[in-house]
Amino acid sequence: MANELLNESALVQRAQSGDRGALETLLTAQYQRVFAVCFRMMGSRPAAEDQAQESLIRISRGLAGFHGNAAFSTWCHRVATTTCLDELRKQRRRPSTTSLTHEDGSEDEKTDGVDITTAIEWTDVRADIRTALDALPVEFARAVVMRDVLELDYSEIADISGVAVGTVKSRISRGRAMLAELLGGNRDTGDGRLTSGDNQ
Amino acid sequence: MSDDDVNQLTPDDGALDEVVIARLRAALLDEVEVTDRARHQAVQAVIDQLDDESPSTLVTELSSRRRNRMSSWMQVAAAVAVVAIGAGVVLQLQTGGDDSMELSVKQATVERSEGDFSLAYEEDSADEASDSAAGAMPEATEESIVAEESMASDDEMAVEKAATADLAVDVADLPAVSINDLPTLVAELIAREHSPIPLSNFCGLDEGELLAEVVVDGELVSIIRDLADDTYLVLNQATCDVLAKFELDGQ
Repeated sequence: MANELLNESALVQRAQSGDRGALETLLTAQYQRVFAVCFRMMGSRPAAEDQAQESLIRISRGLAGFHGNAAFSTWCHRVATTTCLDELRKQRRRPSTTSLTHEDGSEDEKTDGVDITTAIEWTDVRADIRTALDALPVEFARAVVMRDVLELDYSEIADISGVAVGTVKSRISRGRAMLAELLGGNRDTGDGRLTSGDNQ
Repeated sequence: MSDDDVNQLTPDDGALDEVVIARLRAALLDEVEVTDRARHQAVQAVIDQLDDESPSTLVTELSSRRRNRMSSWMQVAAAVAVVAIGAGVVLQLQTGGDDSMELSVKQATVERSEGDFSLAYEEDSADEASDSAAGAMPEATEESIVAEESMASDDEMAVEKAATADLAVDVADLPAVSINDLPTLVAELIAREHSPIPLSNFCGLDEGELLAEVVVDGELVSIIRDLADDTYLVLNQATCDVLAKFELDGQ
């Protein structure tokens, strides 16, 4: 593990110096996690592929500003979530022009853009986790996933969910309590922080 | 749970056990399948895109980059001229009217002075560089300038290398700026009538203009004018975090 970190640090330094081979190695190593984050946030593989690629570009461009204060993988995770948040906000602003016209001339009702709260889904995950998440009210489960898996902060979750921060806090708290019952219990907070990146 | 109770919650209140978090992350992130082919294609596409755009989009200060490119171009042009000189080619420079002047290059042993070659480095703008180059040439050619062919070849390689390096280090040598100096920097950029790059849907901004990219507190940041409210934003390029927002009246 220590060797891996040393190698990664050396690769980052080489990539920061313009070594394309080192950059390629780093991006290849991070792609799975970046794609997974994008997949969970965007809700489909094609959309995730687009945003994963955009994330890799941002990672490459922003590499000069990475100083190793966090693990490189953590930083990449953050860049991926930010990239997807940008895209989701963009989709929310974009008016939908989609309508289907049938042969008889009638049109299906137009949709009002993308409901981004439907983006996160877990139909493909293994049974025990899916069963637990499905047992929660969907908004509770999504809030917990956004906070504890995707590591978004309260304001970001509120933004993409279209609800107040207080509502997000409530959903996360209740969702965690329910999930704890199903999967293994709450952690007693007070000592170590569970996740990084909170701006609250 | 009352509203007051909710507002007292912190991000880790009621946090799940780390084992549960690990199970969730494993199921939702680690177990997402990615084929080697998809991974390779995605990474290669990014590398190709970076290779294609690096000279034009990874910018420092925009007018400075234009100046650097022109300077590099001048250096390469000078190198080409040296090769031509080494080969014994006769160049003619027309400066117009009665001042027309002929530059004759013959096989000889006079070495070219460094001053002739450095003119492109010393100019502050592309136009000035061009003007000065035209003006400096007669001085440089009062004596017939001849370089041996091998020397010219070395010079060409050195200059081309310098020109290439100039572009390559463009990003690595981003100017480091204190966040307090940013309003002054932006004012200077505007005073210089630089050409901002239009942006749309960037980091949550609907419409903006990229003024410059600099290093602030060790972070690569973009200085962007938000056209919606005519304010200036300093954004962390990787995370889109807003590091500062200001107006040009000093606020």
